[in-house]
Amino acid sequence: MKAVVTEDVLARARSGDQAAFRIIVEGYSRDVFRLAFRITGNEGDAEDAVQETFLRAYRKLEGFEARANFGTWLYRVTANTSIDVLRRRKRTFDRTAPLDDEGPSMGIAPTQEKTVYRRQVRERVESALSCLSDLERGAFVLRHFEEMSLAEVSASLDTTVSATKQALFRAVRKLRKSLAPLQSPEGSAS
Amino acid sequence: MNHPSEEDLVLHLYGEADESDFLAKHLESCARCREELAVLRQVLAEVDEMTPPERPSDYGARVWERVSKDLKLSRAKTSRSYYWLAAAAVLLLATFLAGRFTARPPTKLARPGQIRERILLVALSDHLEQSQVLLLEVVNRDDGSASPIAPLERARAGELLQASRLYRQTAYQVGEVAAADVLEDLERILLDMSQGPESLEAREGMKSRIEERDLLFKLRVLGSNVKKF
Repeated sequence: MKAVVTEDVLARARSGDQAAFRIIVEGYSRDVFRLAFRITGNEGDAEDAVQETFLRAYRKLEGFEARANFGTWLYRVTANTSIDVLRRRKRTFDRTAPLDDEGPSMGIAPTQEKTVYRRQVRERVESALSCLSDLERGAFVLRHFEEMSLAEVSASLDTTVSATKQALFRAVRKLRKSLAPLQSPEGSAS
Repeated sequence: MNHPSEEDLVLHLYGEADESDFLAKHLESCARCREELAVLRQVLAEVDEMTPPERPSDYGARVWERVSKDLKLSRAKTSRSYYWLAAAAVLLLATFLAGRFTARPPTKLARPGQIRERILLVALSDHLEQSQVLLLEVVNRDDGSASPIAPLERARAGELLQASRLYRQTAYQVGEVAAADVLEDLERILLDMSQGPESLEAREGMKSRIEERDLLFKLRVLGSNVKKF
Protein backbone atom coordinates (compact mmCIF):
# COMPACT_ATOMS: atom_id res chain seq x y z
CA MET A 1 0.00 0.00 0.00
CA LYS A 2 1.18 3.47 -0.77
CA ALA A 3 2.15 5.66 2.16
CA VAL A 4 -0.76 8.06 2.35
CA VAL A 5 -0.40 9.28 5.90
CA THR A 6 2.42 11.08 7.63
CA GLU A 7 4.30 9.84 10.68
CA ASP A 8 2.68 12.61 12.67
CA VAL A 9 -0.81 11.36 11.77
CA LEU A 10 0.23 7.83 12.69
CA ALA A 11 1.62 8.96 16.03
CA ARG A 12 -1.57 10.87 16.83
CA ALA A 13 -3.76 7.93 15.81
CA ARG A 14 -1.70 5.60 18.00
CA SER A 15 -2.38 7.81 20.96
CA GLY A 16 -6.12 7.51 20.33
CA ASP A 17 -6.80 10.65 18.26
CA GLN A 18 -9.90 9.77 16.22
CA ALA A 19 -9.46 12.66 13.79
CA ALA A 20 -6.06 11.22 12.88
CA PHE A 21 -7.52 7.74 12.55
CA ARG A 22 -10.12 9.17 10.20
CA ILE A 23 -7.31 10.35 7.89
CA ILE A 24 -5.95 6.81 7.87
CA VAL A 25 -9.35 5.29 7.07
CA GLU A 26 -10.06 7.75 4.27
CA GLY A 27 -6.56 7.38 2.86
CA TYR A 28 -6.38 3.59 2.77
CA SER A 29 -10.02 2.55 2.15
CA ARG A 30 -9.63 1.92 -1.57
CA ASP A 31 -6.45 -0.14 -1.17
CA VAL A 32 -8.01 -2.14 1.65
CA PHE A 33 -11.15 -2.77 -0.42
CA ARG A 34 -9.13 -3.88 -3.45
CA LEU A 35 -7.18 -6.43 -1.45
CA ALA A 36 -10.26 -7.60 0.49
CA PHE A 37 -12.19 -8.09 -2.75
CA ARG A 38 -9.44 -10.16 -4.29
CA ILE A 39 -9.22 -12.39 -1.26
CA THR A 40 -12.94 -12.79 -0.64
CA GLY A 41 -13.99 -12.63 -4.31
CA ASN A 42 -17.22 -10.95 -3.36
CA GLU A 43 -18.21 -7.29 -3.06
CA GLY A 44 -20.40 -7.67 0.04
CA ASP A 45 -17.82 -9.70 1.90
CA ALA A 46 -15.10 -7.28 0.85
CA GLU A 47 -17.10 -4.39 2.35
CA ASP A 48 -17.50 -6.34 5.59
CA ALA A 49 -13.77 -7.03 5.60
CA VAL A 50 -12.96 -3.33 5.04
CA GLN A 51 -15.01 -2.32 8.05
CA GLU A 52 -13.65 -5.09 10.26
CA THR A 53 -10.09 -4.37 9.14
CA PHE A 54 -10.24 -0.76 10.31
CA LEU A 55 -11.89 -1.74 13.60
CA ARG A 56 -9.13 -4.28 14.25
CA ALA A 57 -6.49 -1.80 13.14
CA TYR A 58 -7.86 0.78 15.59
CA ARG A 59 -7.69 -1.72 18.45
CA LYS A 60 -4.20 -2.90 17.54
CA LEU A 61 -2.73 0.43 16.51
CA GLU A 62 -1.26 1.04 19.93
CA GLY A 63 0.86 -2.09 19.52
CA PHE A 64 2.10 -1.07 16.08
CA GLU A 65 5.79 -0.24 16.14
CA ALA A 66 6.44 3.18 14.67
CA ARG A 67 9.56 2.05 12.82
CA ALA A 68 7.67 -0.70 10.97
CA ASN A 69 6.03 -0.10 7.60
CA PHE A 70 2.44 0.90 8.24
CA GLY A 71 1.27 -0.21 4.77
CA THR A 72 2.66 -3.73 5.28
CA TRP A 73 1.14 -3.88 8.72
CA LEU A 74 -2.27 -2.80 7.42
CA TYR A 75 -1.94 -5.34 4.58
CA ARG A 76 -1.46 -8.03 7.17
CA VAL A 77 -4.53 -6.96 9.11
CA THR A 78 -6.56 -6.76 5.88
CA ALA A 79 -5.39 -10.15 4.61
CA ASN A 80 -6.09 -11.88 7.93
CA THR A 81 -9.47 -10.20 8.29
CA SER A 82 -10.46 -11.06 4.71
CA ILE A 83 -9.43 -14.67 5.24
CA ASP A 84 -11.56 -14.79 8.40
CA VAL A 85 -14.54 -13.35 6.52
CA LEU A 86 -14.00 -15.88 3.75
CA ARG A 87 -13.86 -18.76 6.21
CA ARG A 88 -17.02 -17.61 7.97
CA ARG A 89 -18.80 -17.44 4.63
CA LYS A 90 -17.53 -20.85 3.53
CA ARG A 91 -19.23 -22.27 6.57
CA THR A 92 -22.49 -20.52 5.80
CA PHE A 93 -22.92 -21.78 2.28
CA ASP A 94 -21.00 -23.51 -0.42
CA ARG A 95 -19.92 -20.88 -2.87
CA THR A 96 -18.56 -23.38 -5.41
CA ALA A 97 -21.87 -23.79 -7.18
CA PRO A 98 -21.57 -25.83 -10.35
CA LEU A 99 -20.90 -23.69 -13.35
CA ASP A 100 -22.32 -24.08 -16.79
CA ASP A 101 -19.71 -26.00 -18.71
CA GLU A 102 -21.14 -25.25 -22.08
CA GLY A 103 -19.31 -22.87 -24.30
CA PRO A 104 -20.96 -19.82 -25.83
CA SER A 105 -24.07 -20.57 -27.82
CA MET A 106 -23.76 -20.39 -31.57
CA GLY A 107 -26.93 -18.36 -31.79
CA ILE A 108 -25.59 -15.41 -29.75
CA ALA A 109 -24.24 -12.29 -31.41
CA PRO A 110 -20.40 -11.97 -31.29
CA THR A 111 -20.33 -9.17 -28.71
CA GLN A 112 -22.82 -10.97 -26.48
CA GLU A 113 -20.85 -14.13 -27.01
CA LYS A 114 -17.71 -12.41 -25.79
CA THR A 115 -19.53 -10.98 -22.77
CA VAL A 116 -20.93 -14.37 -21.83
CA TYR A 117 -17.56 -15.98 -22.28
CA ARG A 118 -15.83 -13.35 -20.15
CA ARG A 119 -18.40 -13.82 -17.44
CA GLN A 120 -17.75 -17.55 -17.54
CA VAL A 121 -14.03 -16.94 -17.28
CA ARG A 122 -14.59 -14.66 -14.31
CA GLU A 123 -16.83 -17.17 -12.57
CA ARG A 124 -14.30 -19.92 -13.19
CA VAL A 125 -11.51 -17.81 -11.79
CA GLU A 126 -13.55 -16.96 -8.71
CA SER A 127 -14.40 -20.61 -8.24
CA ALA A 128 -10.78 -21.64 -8.75
CA LEU A 129 -9.57 -19.06 -6.22
CA SER A 130 -12.15 -20.26 -3.71
CA CYS A 131 -10.57 -23.74 -3.82
CA LEU A 132 -7.27 -22.42 -2.50
CA SER A 133 -6.39 -22.69 1.16
CA ASP A 134 -6.22 -19.47 3.17
CA LEU A 135 -2.45 -19.28 2.96
CA GLU A 136 -2.39 -20.14 -0.75
CA ARG A 137 -4.98 -17.52 -1.56
CA GLY A 138 -3.32 -14.88 0.57
CA ALA A 139 0.11 -15.59 -0.91
CA PHE A 140 -1.20 -15.63 -4.46
CA VAL A 141 -3.30 -12.47 -4.16
CA LEU A 142 -0.54 -10.47 -2.52
CA ARG A 143 2.13 -11.63 -4.99
CA HIS A 144 0.09 -11.64 -8.18
CA PHE A 145 -2.32 -8.74 -7.80
CA GLU A 146 -0.59 -6.53 -5.30
CA GLU A 147 2.83 -7.26 -6.78
CA MET A 148 4.50 -7.58 -3.41
CA SER A 149 7.82 -9.42 -3.21
CA LEU A 150 7.82 -12.84 -1.57
CA ALA A 151 9.58 -11.33 1.43
CA GLU A 152 6.86 -8.68 1.79
CA VAL A 153 4.13 -11.29 1.36
CA SER A 154 5.62 -13.47 4.05
CA ALA A 155 5.83 -10.47 6.38
CA SER A 156 2.21 -9.59 5.66
CA LEU A 157 1.01 -13.13 6.26
CA ASP A 158 3.26 -13.58 9.26
CA THR A 159 4.94 -16.66 7.85
CA THR A 160 8.30 -17.65 6.35
CA VAL A 161 9.46 -16.90 2.80
CA SER A 162 9.81 -20.61 2.19
CA ALA A 163 6.22 -21.33 3.31
CA THR A 164 5.01 -18.41 1.17
CA LYS A 165 6.86 -19.73 -1.85
CA GLN A 166 5.40 -23.22 -1.44
CA ALA A 167 1.91 -21.76 -0.98
CA LEU A 168 2.35 -19.73 -4.17
CA PHE A 169 3.46 -22.82 -6.12
CA ARG A 170 0.49 -24.81 -4.88
CA ALA A 171 -1.86 -21.94 -5.73
CA VAL A 172 -0.57 -21.65 -9.30
CA ARG A 173 -0.74 -25.41 -9.78
CA LYS A 174 -4.35 -25.53 -8.57
CA LEU A 175 -5.36 -22.53 -10.68
CA ARG A 176 -3.75 -24.07 -13.71
CA LYS A 177 -5.65 -27.29 -13.15
CA SER A 178 -8.98 -25.51 -12.60
CA LEU A 179 -8.62 -23.11 -15.51
CA ALA A 180 -7.16 -25.59 -17.99
CA PRO A 181 -10.46 -26.21 -19.82
CA LEU A 182 -10.67 -22.51 -20.68
CA GLN A 183 -7.43 -22.41 -22.58
CA SER A 184 -8.15 -22.54 -26.27
CA PRO A 185 -5.49 -24.11 -28.50
CA GLU A 186 -4.90 -20.69 -30.07
CA GLY A 187 -4.55 -19.07 -26.68
CA SER A 188 -7.39 -16.65 -27.43
CA ALA A 189 -9.44 -17.21 -24.30
CA SER A 190 -10.07 -13.56 -23.58
CA MET B 1 18.33 -32.42 -21.06
CA ASN B 2 17.52 -30.93 -17.65
CA HIS B 3 14.35 -28.87 -17.81
CA PRO B 4 13.44 -26.27 -15.21
CA SER B 5 10.59 -27.24 -12.88
CA GLU B 6 7.19 -25.56 -12.83
CA GLU B 7 8.31 -23.83 -9.62
CA ASP B 8 11.33 -22.37 -11.43
CA LEU B 9 9.06 -21.03 -14.16
CA VAL B 10 6.65 -19.52 -11.64
CA LEU B 11 9.51 -17.73 -9.91
CA HIS B 12 10.80 -16.58 -13.31
CA LEU B 13 7.39 -15.14 -14.22
CA TYR B 14 7.21 -13.24 -10.96
CA GLY B 15 10.77 -11.99 -11.26
CA GLU B 16 11.80 -13.89 -8.14
CA ALA B 17 14.11 -16.42 -9.78
CA ASP B 18 17.83 -16.41 -9.49
CA GLU B 19 18.28 -15.38 -13.10
CA SER B 20 21.94 -16.21 -13.14
CA ASP B 21 21.74 -17.86 -16.42
CA PHE B 22 20.59 -21.40 -16.71
CA LEU B 23 16.90 -20.57 -17.06
CA ALA B 24 17.24 -17.76 -19.60
CA LYS B 25 19.65 -19.75 -21.75
CA HIS B 26 17.53 -22.86 -21.47
CA LEU B 27 14.39 -21.00 -22.54
CA GLU B 28 16.17 -19.70 -25.62
CA SER B 29 16.92 -23.19 -26.77
CA CYS B 30 13.98 -25.25 -25.48
CA ALA B 31 10.64 -24.94 -27.28
CA ARG B 32 8.92 -27.24 -24.78
CA CYS B 33 9.76 -25.02 -21.80
CA ARG B 34 8.83 -21.87 -23.73
CA GLU B 35 5.44 -23.44 -24.37
CA GLU B 36 5.12 -24.39 -20.72
CA LEU B 37 5.90 -20.80 -19.76
CA ALA B 38 3.31 -19.51 -22.24
CA VAL B 39 0.63 -21.74 -20.69
CA LEU B 40 1.47 -20.44 -17.22
CA ARG B 41 1.34 -16.85 -18.52
CA GLN B 42 -2.07 -17.50 -20.03
CA VAL B 43 -3.46 -18.99 -16.81
CA LEU B 44 -2.23 -16.02 -14.81
CA ALA B 45 -3.60 -13.59 -17.41
CA GLU B 46 -7.01 -15.19 -17.05
CA VAL B 47 -6.89 -14.68 -13.32
CA ASP B 48 -6.55 -10.96 -14.04
CA GLU B 49 -10.17 -11.02 -15.21
CA MET B 50 -11.11 -10.65 -11.57
CA THR B 51 -10.95 -6.87 -11.42
CA PRO B 52 -12.30 -5.24 -8.27
CA PRO B 53 -15.39 -3.09 -8.91
CA GLU B 54 -14.93 0.68 -8.86
CA ARG B 55 -15.67 2.57 -5.68
CA PRO B 56 -17.30 6.04 -5.61
CA SER B 57 -15.13 9.11 -5.20
CA ASP B 58 -16.31 9.64 -1.60
CA TYR B 59 -15.67 6.01 -0.67
CA GLY B 60 -13.18 6.83 2.10
CA ALA B 61 -15.68 9.18 3.78
CA ARG B 62 -18.41 6.53 3.56
CA VAL B 63 -16.18 3.90 5.14
CA TRP B 64 -15.28 6.31 7.93
CA GLU B 65 -18.97 6.96 8.58
CA ARG B 66 -19.55 3.22 9.13
CA VAL B 67 -16.33 2.64 11.06
CA SER B 68 -16.83 5.59 13.40
CA LYS B 69 -20.30 4.33 14.33
CA ASP B 70 -18.88 0.90 15.09
CA LEU B 71 -16.06 2.40 17.10
CA LYS B 72 -18.59 4.10 19.38
CA LEU B 73 -20.60 0.87 19.71
CA SER B 74 -17.45 -1.15 20.26
CA ARG B 75 -16.30 1.15 23.04
CA ALA B 76 -19.66 0.85 24.74
CA LYS B 77 -19.66 -2.93 24.30
CA THR B 78 -16.11 -3.36 25.59
CA SER B 79 -16.92 -1.23 28.52
CA ARG B 80 -20.03 -3.28 29.27
CA SER B 81 -18.01 -6.50 29.01
CA TYR B 82 -15.41 -5.13 31.34
CA TYR B 83 -18.04 -4.23 33.88
CA TRP B 84 -19.65 -7.61 33.37
CA LEU B 85 -16.32 -9.30 33.96
CA ALA B 86 -15.67 -7.12 36.97
CA ALA B 87 -19.13 -7.92 38.28
CA ALA B 88 -18.51 -11.62 37.73
CA ALA B 89 -15.23 -11.31 39.57
CA VAL B 90 -16.94 -9.56 42.46
CA LEU B 91 -19.53 -12.32 42.52
CA LEU B 92 -16.79 -14.94 42.51
CA LEU B 93 -15.05 -13.03 45.23
CA ALA B 94 -18.23 -12.84 47.27
CA THR B 95 -18.76 -16.60 46.90
CA PHE B 96 -15.15 -17.24 47.74
CA LEU B 97 -15.23 -15.03 50.76
CA ALA B 98 -18.58 -16.33 51.94
CA GLY B 99 -17.15 -19.83 52.12
CA ARG B 100 -13.94 -18.90 53.88
CA PHE B 101 -14.18 -15.74 55.83
CA THR B 102 -17.71 -15.53 57.14
CA ALA B 103 -16.51 -15.92 60.70
CA ARG B 104 -13.65 -13.46 60.35
CA PRO B 105 -13.70 -9.77 61.10
CA PRO B 106 -14.18 -7.31 58.21
CA THR B 107 -10.56 -6.15 58.44
CA LYS B 108 -9.53 -9.39 56.76
CA LEU B 109 -11.29 -8.16 53.62
CA ALA B 110 -9.11 -5.11 53.34
CA ARG B 111 -7.63 -5.91 49.88
CA PRO B 112 -10.51 -7.00 47.68
CA GLY B 113 -8.88 -5.59 44.52
CA GLN B 114 -5.82 -7.79 44.89
CA ILE B 115 -7.83 -10.89 45.66
CA ARG B 116 -10.12 -10.23 42.69
CA GLU B 117 -7.12 -9.91 40.43
CA ARG B 118 -5.71 -13.11 41.82
CA ILE B 119 -8.92 -15.01 41.13
CA LEU B 120 -9.02 -13.69 37.57
CA LEU B 121 -5.40 -14.63 36.99
CA VAL B 122 -5.97 -18.15 38.29
CA ALA B 123 -9.01 -18.46 36.04
CA LEU B 124 -7.01 -17.17 33.05
CA SER B 125 -4.15 -19.54 33.80
CA ASP B 126 -6.62 -22.43 33.95
CA HIS B 127 -8.19 -21.28 30.69
CA LEU B 128 -4.81 -21.21 28.94
CA GLU B 129 -3.96 -24.69 30.19
CA GLN B 130 -7.28 -26.15 29.05
CA SER B 131 -6.84 -24.52 25.66
CA GLN B 132 -3.36 -25.98 25.30
CA VAL B 133 -4.66 -29.46 26.15
CA LEU B 134 -7.39 -29.16 23.54
CA LEU B 135 -5.04 -27.83 20.86
CA LEU B 136 -2.53 -30.59 21.60
CA GLU B 137 -5.27 -33.17 21.12
CA VAL B 138 -5.96 -31.75 17.66
CA VAL B 139 -2.30 -31.44 16.69
CA ASN B 140 -1.42 -34.94 17.89
CA ARG B 141 -4.52 -36.63 16.60
CA ASP B 142 -3.98 -39.66 14.42
CA ASP B 143 -4.21 -38.60 10.78
CA GLY B 144 -6.00 -41.81 9.93
CA SER B 145 -8.97 -40.78 12.07
CA ALA B 146 -12.25 -40.83 10.16
CA SER B 147 -13.85 -37.79 11.76
CA PRO B 148 -12.45 -34.25 11.24
CA ILE B 149 -13.10 -33.38 14.89
CA ALA B 150 -14.92 -35.12 17.72
CA PRO B 151 -18.25 -33.64 18.94
CA LEU B 152 -16.90 -33.46 22.48
CA GLU B 153 -13.90 -31.42 21.33
CA ARG B 154 -16.25 -29.12 19.42
CA ALA B 155 -18.31 -28.51 22.54
CA ARG B 156 -15.19 -27.84 24.63
CA ALA B 157 -13.90 -25.44 22.01
CA GLY B 158 -17.24 -23.59 22.09
CA GLU B 159 -17.05 -23.14 25.86
CA LEU B 160 -13.43 -22.01 25.76
CA LEU B 161 -14.25 -19.61 22.92
CA GLN B 162 -16.75 -17.67 25.03
CA ALA B 163 -14.28 -17.29 27.88
CA SER B 164 -11.45 -16.43 25.52
CA ARG B 165 -13.40 -13.51 24.06
CA LEU B 166 -13.90 -12.01 27.49
CA TYR B 167 -10.25 -12.40 28.40
CA ARG B 168 -9.16 -10.86 25.09
CA GLN B 169 -11.46 -7.87 25.52
CA THR B 170 -10.20 -7.38 29.04
CA ALA B 171 -6.60 -7.66 27.89
CA TYR B 172 -7.19 -4.92 25.30
CA GLN B 173 -8.95 -2.82 27.87
CA VAL B 174 -6.00 -2.93 30.25
CA GLY B 175 -3.46 -2.40 27.46
CA GLU B 176 -2.06 -5.95 27.39
CA VAL B 177 -1.88 -5.90 23.59
CA ALA B 178 0.58 -8.79 23.21
CA ALA B 179 -1.57 -11.04 25.39
CA ALA B 180 -4.69 -9.89 23.51
CA ASP B 181 -3.05 -10.84 20.21
CA VAL B 182 -2.27 -14.36 21.44
CA LEU B 183 -5.84 -14.69 22.70
CA GLU B 184 -7.14 -13.48 19.34
CA ASP B 185 -5.13 -16.17 17.53
CA LEU B 186 -6.47 -18.72 19.99
CA GLU B 187 -10.00 -17.44 19.41
CA ARG B 188 -9.74 -18.01 15.65
CA ILE B 189 -8.68 -21.62 16.15
CA LEU B 190 -11.35 -22.22 18.79
CA LEU B 191 -13.98 -20.73 16.48
CA ASP B 192 -12.93 -23.16 13.74
CA MET B 193 -12.96 -26.06 16.15
CA SER B 194 -16.31 -25.16 17.65
CA GLN B 195 -17.91 -25.04 14.22
CA GLY B 196 -16.08 -28.22 13.27
CA PRO B 197 -13.89 -28.47 10.17
CA GLU B 198 -15.94 -30.08 7.41
CA SER B 199 -13.13 -32.21 6.08
CA LEU B 200 -9.92 -33.88 7.10
CA GLU B 201 -8.13 -31.42 4.84
CA ALA B 202 -9.65 -28.53 6.78
CA ARG B 203 -8.47 -30.13 10.02
CA GLU B 204 -5.00 -30.43 8.58
CA GLY B 205 -5.20 -26.73 7.67
CA MET B 206 -6.11 -25.94 11.27
CA LYS B 207 -3.16 -27.97 12.54
CA SER B 208 -0.86 -26.14 10.15
CA ARG B 209 -2.11 -22.78 11.39
CA ILE B 210 -1.54 -23.79 15.02
CA GLU B 211 2.01 -24.82 14.13
CA GLU B 212 2.81 -21.95 11.75
CA ARG B 213 1.78 -19.36 14.34
CA ASP B 214 3.56 -21.16 17.17
CA LEU B 215 0.33 -20.91 19.08
CA LEU B 216 1.10 -23.66 21.60
CA PHE B 217 4.41 -22.06 22.43
CA LYS B 218 2.83 -18.60 22.80
CA LEU B 219 0.13 -20.01 25.07
CA ARG B 220 2.78 -21.67 27.22
CA VAL B 221 4.73 -18.43 27.52
CA LEU B 222 1.62 -16.41 28.33
CA GLY B 223 0.50 -19.01 30.88
CA SER B 224 3.89 -18.96 32.50
CA ASN B 225 3.85 -15.14 32.70
CA VAL B 226 0.39 -15.18 34.25
CA LYS B 227 1.56 -17.65 36.91
CA LYS B 228 4.47 -15.39 37.84
CA PHE B 229 2.11 -12.64 39.01
